[in-house]
Amino acid sequence: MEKKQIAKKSLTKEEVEHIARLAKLTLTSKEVERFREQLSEILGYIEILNELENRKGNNKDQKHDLVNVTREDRAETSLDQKDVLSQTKEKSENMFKVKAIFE
Amino acid sequence: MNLNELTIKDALLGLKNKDFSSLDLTKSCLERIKKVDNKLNAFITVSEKEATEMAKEADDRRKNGSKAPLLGIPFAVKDLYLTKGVKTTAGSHVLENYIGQYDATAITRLNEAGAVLLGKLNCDAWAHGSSGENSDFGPILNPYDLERTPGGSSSGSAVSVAASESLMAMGTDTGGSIRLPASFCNVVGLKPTYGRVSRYGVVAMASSLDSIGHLTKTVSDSAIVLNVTAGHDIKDANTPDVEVPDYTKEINTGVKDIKIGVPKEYFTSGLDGNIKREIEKALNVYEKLGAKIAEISLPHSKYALAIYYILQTSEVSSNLARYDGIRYGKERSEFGDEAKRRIMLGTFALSAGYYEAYYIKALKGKELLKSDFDEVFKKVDVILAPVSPTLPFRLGEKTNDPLEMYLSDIFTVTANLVGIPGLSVPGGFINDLPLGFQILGPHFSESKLFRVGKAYEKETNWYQRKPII
Repeated sequence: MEKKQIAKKSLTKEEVEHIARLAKLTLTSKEVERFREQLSEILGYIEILNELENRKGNNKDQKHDLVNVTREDRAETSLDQKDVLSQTKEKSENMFKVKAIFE
Repeated sequence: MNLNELTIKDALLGLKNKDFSSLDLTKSCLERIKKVDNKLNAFITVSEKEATEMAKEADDRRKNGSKAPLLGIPFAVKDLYLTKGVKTTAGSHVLENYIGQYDATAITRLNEAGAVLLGKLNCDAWAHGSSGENSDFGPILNPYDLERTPGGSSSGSAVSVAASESLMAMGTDTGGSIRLPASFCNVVGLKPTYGRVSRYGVVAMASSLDSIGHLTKTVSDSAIVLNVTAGHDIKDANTPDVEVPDYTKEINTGVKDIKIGVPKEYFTSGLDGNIKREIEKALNVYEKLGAKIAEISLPHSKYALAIYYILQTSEVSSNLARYDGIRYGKERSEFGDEAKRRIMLGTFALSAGYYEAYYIKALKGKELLKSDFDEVFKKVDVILAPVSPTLPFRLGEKTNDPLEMYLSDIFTVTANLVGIPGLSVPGGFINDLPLGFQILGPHFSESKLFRVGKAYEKETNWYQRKPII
Protein backbone atom coordinates (compact mmCIF):
# COMPACT_ATOMS: atom_id res chain seq x y z
CA MET A 1 0.00 0.00 0.00
CA GLU A 2 1.65 3.24 -1.16
CA LYS A 3 1.89 5.92 1.51
CA LYS A 4 0.23 9.15 0.42
CA GLN A 5 1.43 11.36 3.22
CA ILE A 6 5.00 12.48 3.67
CA ALA A 7 5.45 11.09 7.16
CA LYS A 8 7.41 12.99 9.79
CA LYS A 9 10.56 11.55 8.52
CA SER A 10 13.68 10.67 10.34
CA LEU A 11 15.50 7.98 8.45
CA THR A 12 16.81 4.96 10.30
CA LYS A 13 20.25 3.48 9.81
CA GLU A 14 18.64 0.49 8.07
CA GLU A 15 16.72 2.71 5.68
CA VAL A 16 19.90 4.55 4.67
CA GLU A 17 21.67 1.24 4.11
CA HIS A 18 18.73 0.03 2.03
CA ILE A 19 18.81 3.16 -0.12
CA ALA A 20 22.57 2.84 -0.57
CA ARG A 21 22.12 -0.75 -1.77
CA LEU A 22 19.40 0.30 -4.24
CA ALA A 23 21.68 3.07 -5.50
CA LYS A 24 24.77 0.86 -5.71
CA LEU A 25 26.74 3.10 -3.37
CA THR A 26 29.11 1.74 -0.77
CA LEU A 27 29.01 3.71 2.48
CA THR A 28 31.13 3.44 5.62
CA SER A 29 29.26 3.34 8.92
CA LYS A 30 30.38 6.91 9.61
CA GLU A 31 28.95 7.96 6.25
CA VAL A 32 25.69 6.14 6.96
CA GLU A 33 25.26 8.14 10.18
CA ARG A 34 26.29 11.46 8.61
CA PHE A 35 23.96 11.02 5.64
CA ARG A 36 21.17 9.75 7.90
CA GLU A 37 21.23 13.06 9.77
CA GLN A 38 21.56 15.25 6.67
CA LEU A 39 18.94 13.43 4.61
CA SER A 40 16.51 13.48 7.55
CA GLU A 41 16.93 17.23 7.83
CA ILE A 42 16.30 17.74 4.13
CA LEU A 43 13.25 15.47 4.22
CA GLY A 44 12.01 17.54 7.14
CA TYR A 45 12.03 20.61 4.92
CA ILE A 46 10.20 18.73 2.17
CA GLU A 47 7.28 17.99 4.53
CA ILE A 48 5.85 21.36 3.50
CA LEU A 49 4.44 19.54 0.47
CA ASN A 50 1.89 17.87 2.75
CA GLU A 51 -0.02 21.13 2.48
CA LEU A 52 -0.70 20.18 -1.14
CA GLU A 53 -2.39 16.94 -0.01
CA ASN A 54 -5.82 17.48 -1.49
CA ARG A 55 -4.96 19.50 -4.57
CA LYS A 56 -5.82 18.10 -7.91
CA GLY A 57 -3.20 18.29 -10.58
CA ASN A 58 -2.78 16.45 -13.81
CA ASN A 59 0.55 14.93 -14.66
CA LYS A 60 0.55 16.02 -18.25
CA ASP A 61 3.80 17.69 -19.18
CA GLN A 62 2.85 19.68 -22.22
CA LYS A 63 5.66 22.19 -22.54
CA HIS A 64 5.90 21.94 -26.30
CA ASP A 65 3.20 19.41 -27.25
CA LEU A 66 6.03 17.09 -28.22
CA VAL A 67 4.68 13.56 -28.42
CA ASN A 68 6.58 10.47 -29.56
CA VAL A 69 9.36 12.22 -31.43
CA THR A 70 10.59 9.63 -33.92
CA ARG A 71 12.69 9.35 -37.03
CA GLU A 72 12.82 6.93 -39.92
CA ASP A 73 14.12 3.48 -38.99
CA ARG A 74 17.19 3.79 -41.14
CA ALA A 75 20.74 2.80 -40.24
CA GLU A 76 23.04 5.79 -39.95
CA THR A 77 26.68 6.21 -39.01
CA SER A 78 27.18 6.46 -35.29
CA LEU A 79 30.26 6.94 -33.15
CA ASP A 80 33.44 5.28 -34.31
CA GLN A 81 33.98 2.01 -32.44
CA LYS A 82 37.58 3.00 -31.75
CA ASP A 83 36.43 6.18 -29.98
CA VAL A 84 33.76 4.33 -28.04
CA LEU A 85 36.30 1.86 -26.63
CA SER A 86 39.06 4.42 -26.16
CA GLN A 87 38.37 5.32 -22.53
CA THR A 88 38.56 1.96 -20.78
CA LYS A 89 40.94 -0.89 -20.14
CA GLU A 90 38.01 -3.25 -19.66
CA LYS A 91 37.77 -4.41 -23.24
CA SER A 92 38.55 -7.39 -25.44
CA GLU A 93 38.16 -7.81 -29.20
CA ASN A 94 36.16 -4.63 -29.77
CA MET A 95 33.81 -5.32 -26.89
CA PHE A 96 33.43 -4.05 -23.37
CA LYS A 97 34.27 -6.61 -20.70
CA VAL A 98 31.74 -6.82 -17.90
CA LYS A 99 31.09 -9.08 -14.92
CA ALA A 100 29.41 -12.37 -15.79
CA ILE A 101 25.67 -12.35 -15.27
CA PHE A 102 25.09 -16.04 -15.86
CA GLU A 103 27.18 -18.77 -14.35
CA MET B 1 41.74 48.35 -23.18
CA ASN B 2 43.40 44.96 -23.56
CA LEU B 3 41.90 42.70 -26.21
CA ASN B 4 40.66 40.17 -23.62
CA GLU B 5 38.56 42.92 -22.02
CA LEU B 6 36.49 43.47 -25.16
CA THR B 7 32.88 42.43 -25.51
CA ILE B 8 32.04 39.95 -28.28
CA LYS B 9 30.31 42.74 -30.21
CA ASP B 10 33.37 45.00 -30.12
CA ALA B 11 35.77 42.14 -30.79
CA LEU B 12 33.82 41.13 -33.91
CA LEU B 13 34.00 44.73 -35.11
CA GLY B 14 37.74 44.91 -34.43
CA LEU B 15 38.34 41.63 -36.24
CA LYS B 16 36.25 42.79 -39.19
CA ASN B 17 38.17 46.07 -39.38
CA LYS B 18 41.46 44.18 -39.16
CA ASP B 19 42.45 46.12 -36.00
CA PHE B 20 43.75 42.83 -34.65
CA SER B 21 43.60 39.13 -35.47
CA SER B 22 41.89 36.26 -33.71
CA LEU B 23 45.36 35.03 -32.83
CA ASP B 24 46.04 38.35 -31.07
CA LEU B 25 42.71 38.14 -29.27
CA THR B 26 43.19 34.51 -28.24
CA LYS B 27 46.74 35.11 -27.04
CA SER B 28 45.49 38.01 -24.94
CA CYS B 29 43.01 35.68 -23.22
CA LEU B 30 45.60 32.94 -22.74
CA GLU B 31 48.00 35.44 -21.18
CA ARG B 32 45.29 36.70 -18.87
CA ILE B 33 44.53 33.13 -17.80
CA LYS B 34 48.22 32.54 -17.05
CA LYS B 35 48.31 35.74 -15.02
CA VAL B 36 45.23 35.39 -12.83
CA ASP B 37 43.81 31.88 -12.90
CA ASN B 38 46.08 30.53 -10.18
CA LYS B 39 44.23 32.94 -7.88
CA LEU B 40 40.77 32.13 -9.22
CA ASN B 41 40.87 28.44 -10.18
CA ALA B 42 38.26 28.96 -12.91
CA PHE B 43 39.90 26.57 -15.37
CA ILE B 44 40.46 22.82 -15.07
CA THR B 45 41.97 22.45 -18.54
CA VAL B 46 43.50 25.18 -20.68
CA SER B 47 43.90 23.93 -24.23
CA GLU B 48 46.52 26.44 -25.32
CA LYS B 49 47.81 24.53 -28.34
CA GLU B 50 44.34 23.75 -29.69
CA ALA B 51 43.15 27.31 -29.07
CA THR B 52 46.11 28.76 -30.96
CA GLU B 53 45.41 26.42 -33.89
CA MET B 54 41.71 27.29 -33.91
CA ALA B 55 42.53 31.00 -33.80
CA LYS B 56 44.82 30.70 -36.82
CA GLU B 57 42.10 28.75 -38.64
CA ALA B 58 39.58 31.45 -37.84
CA ASP B 59 41.92 34.10 -39.23
CA ASP B 60 42.29 32.03 -42.43
CA ARG B 61 38.55 31.58 -42.72
CA ARG B 62 38.09 35.32 -42.34
CA LYS B 63 40.66 36.00 -45.06
CA ASN B 64 38.67 33.69 -47.32
CA GLY B 65 35.55 35.74 -46.78
CA SER B 66 33.76 33.78 -44.06
CA LYS B 67 31.05 35.69 -42.21
CA ALA B 68 30.55 33.08 -39.47
CA PRO B 69 28.84 34.83 -36.53
CA LEU B 70 31.45 34.10 -33.82
CA LEU B 71 34.48 33.85 -36.06
CA GLY B 72 37.63 34.15 -34.00
CA ILE B 73 35.93 34.74 -30.64
CA PRO B 74 37.61 32.93 -27.71
CA PHE B 75 35.26 31.12 -25.36
CA ALA B 76 35.42 28.55 -22.57
CA VAL B 77 33.10 25.75 -21.55
CA LYS B 78 31.82 24.32 -18.28
CA ASP B 79 33.46 20.92 -17.83
CA LEU B 80 30.07 19.24 -18.11
CA TYR B 81 30.14 19.60 -21.89
CA LEU B 82 31.83 16.82 -23.83
CA THR B 83 34.61 18.14 -26.04
CA LYS B 84 36.14 15.60 -28.38
CA GLY B 85 39.79 14.95 -27.63
CA VAL B 86 39.79 17.31 -24.67
CA LYS B 87 39.60 16.19 -21.04
CA THR B 88 36.07 16.40 -19.66
CA THR B 89 35.76 15.87 -15.91
CA ALA B 90 32.31 17.14 -14.87
CA GLY B 91 34.26 18.62 -11.93
CA SER B 92 34.60 15.12 -10.45
CA HIS B 93 37.43 12.71 -9.57
CA VAL B 94 35.29 10.04 -11.23
CA LEU B 95 36.07 11.50 -14.67
CA GLU B 96 39.42 13.12 -13.94
CA ASN B 97 41.11 11.15 -16.73
CA TYR B 98 38.21 11.05 -19.15
CA ILE B 99 38.82 12.41 -22.65
CA GLY B 100 35.67 13.46 -24.48
CA GLN B 101 34.63 10.99 -27.16
CA TYR B 102 32.47 13.37 -29.16
CA ASP B 103 31.44 17.02 -29.13
CA ALA B 104 28.23 18.28 -27.56
CA THR B 105 25.89 19.78 -30.16
CA ALA B 106 26.33 23.23 -28.63
CA ILE B 107 30.10 22.85 -29.08
CA THR B 108 29.71 21.70 -32.69
CA ARG B 109 27.57 24.75 -33.44
CA LEU B 110 30.02 27.11 -31.77
CA ASN B 111 32.90 25.54 -33.69
CA GLU B 112 31.03 25.94 -36.97
CA ALA B 113 30.39 29.56 -36.04
CA GLY B 114 34.15 30.02 -35.75
CA ALA B 115 34.51 30.36 -31.98
CA VAL B 116 37.87 29.43 -30.44
CA LEU B 117 37.88 27.04 -27.46
CA LEU B 118 40.23 28.19 -24.67
CA GLY B 119 39.57 25.37 -22.25
CA LYS B 120 37.26 23.67 -19.75
CA LEU B 121 35.88 25.39 -16.73
CA ASN B 122 35.76 24.32 -13.11
CA CYS B 123 32.35 23.67 -11.58
CA ASP B 124 30.62 21.86 -8.74
CA ALA B 125 31.03 18.16 -9.43
CA TRP B 126 28.16 16.92 -11.65
CA ALA B 127 26.70 20.44 -11.38
CA HIS B 128 25.62 19.61 -7.82
CA GLY B 129 26.06 22.86 -6.00
CA SER B 130 25.42 26.57 -5.68
CA SER B 131 28.90 27.83 -4.85
CA GLY B 132 31.66 25.94 -6.67
CA GLU B 133 32.76 24.44 -3.37
CA ASN B 134 31.70 20.92 -4.41
CA SER B 135 34.31 20.74 -7.14
CA ASP B 136 36.86 17.97 -6.72
CA PHE B 137 39.42 20.35 -8.23
CA GLY B 138 39.28 23.01 -5.53
CA PRO B 139 36.79 25.82 -5.10
CA ILE B 140 36.54 28.66 -7.57
CA LEU B 141 36.97 32.14 -6.10
CA ASN B 142 34.94 35.28 -6.69
CA PRO B 143 37.17 37.81 -8.51
CA TYR B 144 35.40 40.68 -6.70
CA ASP B 145 36.35 39.19 -3.32
CA LEU B 146 38.64 36.19 -3.20
CA GLU B 147 37.22 35.10 0.17
CA ARG B 148 33.76 34.67 -1.26
CA THR B 149 32.17 32.17 -3.57
CA PRO B 150 31.28 33.09 -7.14
CA GLY B 151 28.05 31.09 -6.89
CA GLY B 152 27.51 27.80 -8.71
CA SER B 153 27.41 25.42 -10.25
CA SER B 154 28.68 27.25 -13.39
CA SER B 155 31.27 28.92 -11.19
CA GLY B 156 34.25 28.85 -13.56
CA SER B 157 31.99 30.07 -16.37
CA ALA B 158 30.99 33.21 -14.46
CA VAL B 159 34.48 33.88 -13.15
CA SER B 160 36.25 33.47 -16.50
CA VAL B 161 33.99 36.09 -18.07
CA ALA B 162 34.06 38.45 -15.06
CA ALA B 163 37.85 38.29 -14.89
CA SER B 164 38.20 38.80 -18.65
CA GLU B 165 39.87 35.43 -19.14
CA SER B 166 37.30 34.60 -21.80
CA LEU B 167 34.80 36.60 -23.86
CA MET B 168 32.04 34.10 -23.28
CA ALA B 169 31.45 30.92 -21.32
CA MET B 170 28.97 28.09 -21.69
CA GLY B 171 27.20 26.88 -18.57
CA THR B 172 24.19 24.85 -17.52
CA ASP B 173 21.20 25.86 -15.39
CA THR B 174 19.12 23.16 -13.71
CA GLY B 175 18.03 25.10 -10.64
CA GLY B 176 19.83 28.41 -11.09
CA SER B 177 23.37 27.32 -11.94
CA ILE B 178 23.89 30.01 -14.57
CA ARG B 179 21.83 32.79 -13.05
CA LEU B 180 23.27 32.57 -9.55
CA PRO B 181 26.96 32.76 -10.48
CA ALA B 182 26.15 35.46 -13.06
CA SER B 183 24.50 37.44 -10.29
CA PHE B 184 27.46 36.99 -7.92
CA CYS B 185 30.06 37.93 -10.55
CA ASN B 186 28.55 40.93 -12.33
CA VAL B 187 27.97 39.19 -15.65
CA VAL B 188 24.95 38.40 -17.79
CA GLY B 189 23.66 34.84 -17.51
CA LEU B 190 21.01 33.32 -19.74
CA LYS B 191 18.95 30.28 -18.87
CA PRO B 192 17.11 29.66 -22.15
CA THR B 193 13.68 28.06 -22.42
CA TYR B 194 13.89 24.31 -21.79
CA GLY B 195 14.54 22.73 -25.18
CA ARG B 196 15.71 25.94 -26.85
CA VAL B 197 19.29 24.64 -26.91
CA SER B 198 20.21 21.00 -27.40
CA ARG B 199 21.36 19.03 -24.34
CA TYR B 200 23.12 16.43 -26.48
CA GLY B 201 26.64 15.79 -25.27
CA VAL B 202 26.23 17.59 -21.96
CA VAL B 203 26.48 15.45 -18.84
CA ALA B 204 22.87 15.03 -17.75
CA MET B 205 21.93 16.24 -14.31
CA ALA B 206 18.11 16.36 -14.24
CA SER B 207 16.96 15.73 -17.77
CA SER B 208 13.61 17.55 -17.55
CA LEU B 209 15.20 20.59 -15.91
CA ASP B 210 18.65 20.99 -17.51
CA SER B 211 18.98 24.13 -19.59
CA ILE B 212 21.98 24.81 -21.83
CA GLY B 213 22.95 28.45 -21.58
CA HIS B 214 25.80 30.90 -21.41
CA LEU B 215 27.43 33.81 -19.61
CA THR B 216 28.66 36.99 -21.24
CA LYS B 217 29.75 40.52 -20.32
CA THR B 218 26.74 42.19 -21.89
CA VAL B 219 23.16 41.51 -22.95
CA SER B 220 23.93 42.01 -26.66
CA ASP B 221 26.70 39.43 -26.43
CA SER B 222 24.23 36.98 -24.91
CA ALA B 223 21.87 37.41 -27.86
CA ILE B 224 24.71 36.90 -30.35
CA VAL B 225 25.58 33.57 -28.73
CA LEU B 226 22.00 32.32 -28.52
CA ASN B 227 21.65 32.90 -32.28
CA VAL B 228 24.34 30.22 -32.67
CA THR B 229 23.38 27.63 -30.08
CA ALA B 230 19.58 27.69 -30.31
CA GLY B 231 17.47 25.47 -32.49
CA HIS B 232 16.08 22.03 -33.16
CA ASP B 233 18.54 19.14 -32.86
CA ILE B 234 17.61 15.65 -33.98
CA LYS B 235 19.86 14.29 -31.23
CA ASP B 236 17.80 15.92 -28.48
CA ALA B 237 14.16 14.91 -28.79
CA ASN B 238 13.16 17.73 -26.45
CA THR B 239 14.19 20.49 -28.83
CA PRO B 240 10.98 21.45 -30.65
CA ASP B 241 11.06 22.80 -34.17
CA VAL B 242 10.48 26.36 -33.00
CA GLU B 243 11.96 29.05 -35.21
CA VAL B 244 15.16 30.75 -34.06
CA PRO B 245 14.68 34.48 -34.60
CA ASP B 246 17.58 36.93 -34.78
CA TYR B 247 17.80 37.58 -31.06
CA THR B 248 19.68 40.84 -31.62
CA LYS B 249 16.94 42.34 -33.80
CA GLU B 250 14.62 43.88 -31.16
CA ILE B 251 17.24 44.35 -28.49
CA ASN B 252 17.30 48.15 -28.59
CA THR B 253 13.56 48.74 -28.83
CA GLY B 254 13.28 49.78 -25.17
CA VAL B 255 10.63 49.01 -22.57
CA LYS B 256 7.92 51.59 -23.17
CA ASP B 257 4.61 50.07 -22.10
CA ILE B 258 6.19 46.72 -21.28
CA LYS B 259 4.40 45.30 -18.25
CA ILE B 260 6.80 44.06 -15.59
CA GLY B 261 5.37 41.85 -12.83
CA VAL B 262 6.92 41.76 -9.37
CA PRO B 263 6.02 38.64 -7.34
CA LYS B 264 4.92 39.69 -3.88
CA GLU B 265 5.80 36.29 -2.39
CA TYR B 266 9.50 36.85 -3.14
CA PHE B 267 9.72 39.99 -1.04
CA THR B 268 9.11 38.50 2.37
CA SER B 269 11.30 38.79 5.47
CA GLY B 270 13.63 36.07 4.16
CA LEU B 271 15.06 38.46 1.57
CA ASP B 272 18.12 40.53 2.54
CA GLY B 273 17.02 44.17 2.96
CA ASN B 274 19.91 45.39 0.82
CA ILE B 275 18.76 43.23 -2.06
CA LYS B 276 15.17 44.42 -1.70
CA ARG B 277 16.40 48.02 -2.01
CA GLU B 278 18.47 47.22 -5.11
CA ILE B 279 15.47 45.61 -6.80
CA GLU B 280 13.36 48.66 -5.99
CA LYS B 281 16.04 50.88 -7.55
CA ALA B 282 15.98 48.73 -10.69
CA LEU B 283 12.19 49.02 -10.84
CA ASN B 284 12.51 52.81 -10.60
CA VAL B 285 14.85 52.77 -13.58
CA TYR B 286 12.33 50.73 -15.54
CA GLU B 287 9.49 53.06 -14.62
CA LYS B 288 11.56 56.02 -15.74
CA LEU B 289 12.10 54.24 -19.06
CA GLY B 290 8.36 53.85 -19.59
CA ALA B 291 7.65 50.35 -18.33
CA LYS B 292 4.58 49.60 -16.25
CA ILE B 293 5.25 47.87 -12.94
CA ALA B 294 2.57 45.65 -11.40
CA GLU B 295 2.51 43.53 -8.27
CA ILE B 296 1.64 39.93 -9.11
CA SER B 297 1.15 36.76 -7.13
CA LEU B 298 2.75 33.35 -7.53
CA PRO B 299 0.81 31.66 -4.75
CA HIS B 300 2.57 28.30 -4.83
CA SER B 301 6.07 29.80 -4.60
CA LYS B 302 6.74 28.46 -1.13
CA TYR B 303 6.54 24.87 -2.40
CA ALA B 304 8.95 25.35 -5.29
CA LEU B 305 12.18 24.44 -3.54
CA ALA B 306 10.76 21.25 -2.01
CA ILE B 307 9.24 20.23 -5.35
CA TYR B 308 12.58 20.92 -7.01
CA TYR B 309 14.67 18.91 -4.57
CA ILE B 310 12.45 15.88 -5.03
CA LEU B 311 12.19 16.00 -8.82
CA GLN B 312 15.81 17.03 -9.42
CA THR B 313 17.32 14.44 -7.09
CA SER B 314 15.01 11.74 -8.50
CA GLU B 315 16.26 12.46 -11.98
CA VAL B 316 19.87 12.75 -10.76
CA SER B 317 19.61 9.31 -9.15
CA SER B 318 18.27 7.91 -12.40
CA ASN B 319 20.90 9.53 -14.61
CA LEU B 320 23.82 8.65 -12.37
CA ALA B 321 22.49 5.09 -12.03
CA ARG B 322 23.54 4.79 -15.68
CA TYR B 323 27.14 5.47 -14.69
CA ASP B 324 28.83 2.09 -14.56
CA GLY B 325 32.54 2.93 -14.33
CA ILE B 326 33.19 0.21 -16.93
CA ARG B 327 33.01 2.00 -20.28
CA TYR B 328 34.99 4.99 -18.99
CA GLY B 329 35.96 6.70 -15.76
CA LYS B 330 36.58 5.48 -12.23
CA GLU B 331 34.40 3.45 -9.88
CA ARG B 332 31.16 4.65 -8.31
CA SER B 333 32.93 4.73 -4.95
CA GLU B 334 34.71 7.89 -6.18
CA PHE B 335 31.46 9.90 -6.10
CA GLY B 336 31.76 12.82 -3.67
CA ASP B 337 29.46 13.54 -0.74
CA GLU B 338 27.04 15.83 -2.53
CA ALA B 339 26.57 13.39 -5.40
CA LYS B 340 25.94 10.59 -2.92
CA ARG B 341 23.47 12.74 -1.00
CA ARG B 342 21.46 13.62 -4.07
CA ILE B 343 21.54 10.09 -5.45
CA MET B 344 20.22 8.77 -2.14
CA LEU B 345 17.51 11.43 -1.80
CA GLY B 346 16.31 10.65 -5.30
CA THR B 347 16.48 6.90 -4.82
CA PHE B 348 14.41 7.29 -1.65
CA ALA B 349 11.81 9.51 -3.33
CA LEU B 350 11.38 6.97 -6.13
CA SER B 351 11.44 3.86 -3.98
CA ALA B 352 8.50 1.55 -3.31
CA GLY B 353 6.37 2.84 -0.49
CA TYR B 354 7.48 6.44 -0.94
CA TYR B 355 7.04 7.09 -4.65
CA GLU B 356 3.44 8.33 -4.30
CA ALA B 357 4.10 10.50 -1.27
CA TYR B 358 7.18 12.18 -2.69
CA TYR B 359 7.70 11.92 -6.43
CA ILE B 360 4.08 11.91 -7.60
CA LYS B 361 3.21 14.67 -5.16
CA ALA B 362 6.09 16.79 -6.44
CA LEU B 363 4.94 16.24 -10.04
CA LYS B 364 1.48 17.47 -9.15
CA GLY B 365 2.99 20.43 -7.33
CA LYS B 366 4.91 21.30 -10.49
CA GLU B 367 1.61 21.59 -12.39
CA LEU B 368 0.36 24.04 -9.79
CA LEU B 369 3.48 26.17 -10.26
CA LYS B 370 2.89 26.12 -14.01
CA SER B 371 -0.66 27.39 -13.58
CA ASP B 372 0.65 30.23 -11.42
CA PHE B 373 2.88 31.39 -14.26
CA ASP B 374 0.27 30.85 -16.98
CA GLU B 375 -2.07 33.13 -15.04
CA VAL B 376 0.59 35.77 -14.44
CA PHE B 377 1.74 35.94 -18.05
CA LYS B 378 -1.82 36.79 -19.07
CA LYS B 379 -1.36 40.02 -17.12
CA VAL B 380 2.33 40.94 -17.57
CA ASP B 381 4.99 40.56 -20.26
CA VAL B 382 7.88 39.65 -17.97
CA ILE B 383 8.60 39.09 -14.29
CA LEU B 384 11.41 40.79 -12.39
CA ALA B 385 12.78 38.99 -9.37
CA PRO B 386 15.85 38.62 -7.18
CA VAL B 387 18.25 35.80 -8.04
CA SER B 388 19.77 35.15 -4.63
CA PRO B 389 18.31 35.62 -1.15
CA THR B 390 21.74 36.79 0.07
CA LEU B 391 24.83 38.62 -1.08
CA PRO B 392 27.73 36.48 -2.32
CA PHE B 393 28.57 34.42 0.74
CA ARG B 394 31.94 33.47 2.17
CA LEU B 395 33.73 30.25 1.34
CA GLY B 396 32.88 27.64 3.93
CA GLU B 397 29.85 29.56 5.19
CA LYS B 398 27.29 27.00 4.01
CA THR B 399 29.36 23.87 3.40
CA ASN B 400 28.45 22.21 6.70
CA ASP B 401 24.74 22.54 6.13
CA PRO B 402 23.47 21.06 2.86
CA LEU B 403 19.95 22.38 3.40
CA GLU B 404 21.31 25.90 3.95
CA MET B 405 23.14 25.62 0.62
CA TYR B 406 19.98 24.35 -1.12
CA LEU B 407 18.12 27.47 0.08
CA SER B 408 20.39 29.57 -2.17
CA ASP B 409 18.25 28.34 -5.07
CA ILE B 410 14.96 29.52 -3.67
CA PHE B 411 14.30 32.14 -6.38
CA THR B 412 15.80 30.31 -9.30
CA VAL B 413 14.36 26.77 -9.28
CA THR B 414 10.87 27.71 -10.43
CA ALA B 415 12.02 28.76 -13.91
CA ASN B 416 13.52 25.28 -14.39
CA LEU B 417 10.42 23.53 -13.10
CA VAL B 418 8.09 25.37 -15.46
CA GLY B 419 10.62 25.49 -18.31
CA ILE B 420 10.63 29.24 -18.87
CA PRO B 421 13.68 31.34 -19.76
CA GLY B 422 15.46 33.63 -17.31
CA LEU B 423 18.08 36.33 -17.85
CA SER B 424 20.25 37.39 -14.92
CA VAL B 425 21.68 40.89 -15.40
CA PRO B 426 24.10 42.91 -13.23
CA GLY B 427 22.07 45.03 -10.84
CA GLY B 428 24.74 46.96 -9.02
CA PHE B 429 27.00 46.60 -6.03
CA ILE B 430 26.30 46.34 -2.31
CA ASN B 431 29.36 46.67 -0.04
CA ASP B 432 31.43 46.32 -3.23
CA LEU B 433 29.85 42.93 -3.93
CA PRO B 434 27.99 42.40 -7.18
CA LEU B 435 24.33 41.53 -7.20
CA GLY B 436 22.11 40.75 -10.14
CA PHE B 437 18.39 40.41 -10.70
CA GLN B 438 16.55 38.15 -13.09
CA ILE B 439 14.00 38.73 -15.81
CA LEU B 440 11.66 35.82 -16.50
CA GLY B 441 9.33 35.44 -19.45
CA PRO B 442 7.00 32.95 -21.13
CA HIS B 443 8.42 30.03 -23.12
CA PHE B 444 10.55 31.17 -26.08
CA SER B 445 10.40 34.85 -25.08
CA GLU B 446 14.18 35.33 -25.04
CA SER B 447 13.96 38.29 -27.45
CA LYS B 448 11.82 40.11 -24.94
CA LEU B 449 14.16 39.26 -22.05
CA PHE B 450 17.12 40.66 -23.98
CA ARG B 451 15.17 43.82 -24.78
CA VAL B 452 14.25 44.37 -21.13
CA GLY B 453 17.76 43.56 -19.90
CA LYS B 454 19.42 45.80 -22.48
CA ALA B 455 17.27 48.79 -21.55
CA TYR B 456 18.49 48.60 -17.95
CA GLU B 457 22.08 47.91 -18.96
CA LYS B 458 22.18 51.04 -21.16
CA GLU B 459 21.15 53.15 -18.16
CA THR B 460 23.57 51.62 -15.66
CA ASN B 461 26.52 49.94 -17.42
CA TRP B 462 27.47 47.97 -14.29
CA TYR B 463 29.50 45.57 -16.46
CA GLN B 464 32.14 48.24 -16.90
CA ARG B 465 33.14 47.89 -13.25
CA LYS B 466 35.82 45.22 -13.51
CA PRO B 467 37.22 43.27 -10.57
CA ILE B 468 40.69 44.15 -9.31
CA ILE B 469 42.54 40.86 -9.00
